[in-house]
Amino acid sequence: MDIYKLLRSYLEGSIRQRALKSSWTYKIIKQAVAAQKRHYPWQASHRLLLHTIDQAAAAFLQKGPVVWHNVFFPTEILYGLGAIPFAPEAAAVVATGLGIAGRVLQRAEGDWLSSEACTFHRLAHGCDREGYFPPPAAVVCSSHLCDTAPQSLAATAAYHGVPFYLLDVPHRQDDAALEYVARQLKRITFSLVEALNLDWNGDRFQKALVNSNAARERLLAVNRLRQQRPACIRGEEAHSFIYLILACFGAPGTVEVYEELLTELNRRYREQRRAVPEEKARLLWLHLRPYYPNAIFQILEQEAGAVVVGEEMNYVYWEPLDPERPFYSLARKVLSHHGLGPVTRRIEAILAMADNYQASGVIHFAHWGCRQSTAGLRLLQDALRERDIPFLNLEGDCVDQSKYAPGAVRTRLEGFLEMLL
Amino acid sequence: MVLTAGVDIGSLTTKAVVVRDGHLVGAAVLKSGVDSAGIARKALQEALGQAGFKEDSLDGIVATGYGRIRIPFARRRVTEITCHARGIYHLWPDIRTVIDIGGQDSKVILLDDDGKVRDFVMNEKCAAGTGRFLEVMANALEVPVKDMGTLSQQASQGASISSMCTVFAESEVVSLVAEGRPVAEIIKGLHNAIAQRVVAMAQRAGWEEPVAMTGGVAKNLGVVQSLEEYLGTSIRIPPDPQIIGALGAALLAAG
Repeated sequence: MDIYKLLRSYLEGSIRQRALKSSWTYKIIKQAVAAQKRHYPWQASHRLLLHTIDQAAAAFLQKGPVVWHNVFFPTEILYGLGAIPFAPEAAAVVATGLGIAGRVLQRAEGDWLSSEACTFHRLAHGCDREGYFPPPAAVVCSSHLCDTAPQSLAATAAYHGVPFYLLDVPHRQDDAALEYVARQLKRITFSLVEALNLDWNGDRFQKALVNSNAARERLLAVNRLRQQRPACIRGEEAHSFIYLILACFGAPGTVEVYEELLTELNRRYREQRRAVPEEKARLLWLHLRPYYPNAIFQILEQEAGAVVVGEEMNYVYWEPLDPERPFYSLARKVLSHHGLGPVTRRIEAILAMADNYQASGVIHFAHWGCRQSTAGLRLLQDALRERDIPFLNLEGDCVDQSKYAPGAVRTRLEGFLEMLL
Repeated sequence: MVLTAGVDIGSLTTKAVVVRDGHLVGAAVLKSGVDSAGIARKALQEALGQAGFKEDSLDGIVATGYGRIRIPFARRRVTEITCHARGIYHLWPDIRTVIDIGGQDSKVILLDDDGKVRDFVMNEKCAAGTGRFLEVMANALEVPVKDMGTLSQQASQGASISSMCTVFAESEVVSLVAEGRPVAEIIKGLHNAIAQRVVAMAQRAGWEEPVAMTGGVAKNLGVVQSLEEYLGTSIRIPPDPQIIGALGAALLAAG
């Protein structure tokens, strides 16, 4: 049974919004996914999907106050409060996978959202206004990296008439900045407690940070394994775990998924089970990827043997959190992001990743409307050239399939591979 | 003797080249159509006929261009990026930058000392600044596309064309005609607009001298002149710039 076909049939019918709010939907989907367990090449992927379904069910069935957040807000706070986090940018990916993006983007256009704006946010807007997303009880958003998120999410909060809390993140990383961010995180936390009438539980809050650290440790171990030759997991398979780093740190389920992935990876490296029969090149992938059906990874990994061995989005950029000083250490995490501040920080991090993963080439997927990711590309290209590392900037859209030109993408990828191999 | 062929299936034209021991001995250019494989086969037969050989004497065939995956008789497929680089390197090994403007895309390719591709930049996925763009504008101006180069040289200045979107630019051209602006100035304006776009790509790639140009648009001296002005350097044009991709493919087929 194709789970996506099943979901699509639910969503395309007249009962689409009601279907998302029915516990039967999640029971059926979970049963269908559970029955497919042995068909998953990675059990961690299977566990990740079940974890995602549980999270979606909690949000859509309103099992608690649903708090929308952007993907750079530290979710440990939301898990620590016992709220139900919902990341509209990540949910937009699911909407793309379900094939409803085209119609929903039209809705966003009809609401005067500029087509110049990031498609993730336009899609999230359309999904929300069309009733595909669970209504928020509150919205939190961090100002760093993504310039569309604060405006887009503030508008959503206003539309639903719920409180909006902005985490204002400065570009500098000094003590004053740390203090400034920590103070805001504390204020947002207790504002949420008050506004949503939540029970403050210090132990639960600390546990979210402990979970976050446990997930971080496992992700670090996964990344260390992936730095070995030959690769034992294809980039296409590893990419989906990015969801965890963007929306699930602080949840116990996240630790379980990484644990499973680590166990499987360890076994495969021990058994030398290669990701591709012959590893001809090792690639580092920057930013995100298209989430609609496309041939990018097939061309790279299966046809050419050029394995994506690491992703920028899976990079552990922060130090362990201190559960005794939650706001201070979460502020430090936020300010540690390699994409924050001068572009040289990101370049240094990417060069270190290229070294660690022994990457012979770097591909950057330039998502439409994402300025934080694309504005410094010239400097990045120059830095990679100095190290003789070929670089491809692949322009496209992560969620809008109408921007995907298969022939043009194939030519760019094959041209890059011919240069590399 | 090593006899090889290269077939370049572009969006507007299909080119075939036959090479014997590294020397071009036959070439053909046909209009592309829905039957890519049939037209490619026909172009190959024409080029082979010129060279005086039959298909079964070929030691290798490489297909390139957007239609390369649809050519069943090709023994290998290589992108036009590598093929244009190889073709130009064969003619002029000192070239370091190739500008290729074809029917539906434009590229800037950087070559190293051995003629290998060092880097490349391609246009976005639309027809702006390509051969198809010029065809649409020629149609709007009611002039043959092959005369655009000569006509533009009659103008001392180019009209300002603000949009490179084929649809918007066409309506701009129609407005300029209605305003009574001389056709030569409009064409020069179009050439300048294309050149500005390609120069931005060249800068992104980090272009170096000497520069050569390939692809059908290289036959348009107006575009070449505009490019030379904006780049501030002279551009070498091969005798038949349209077949360089196919030539490179034929040379690559020889190994």
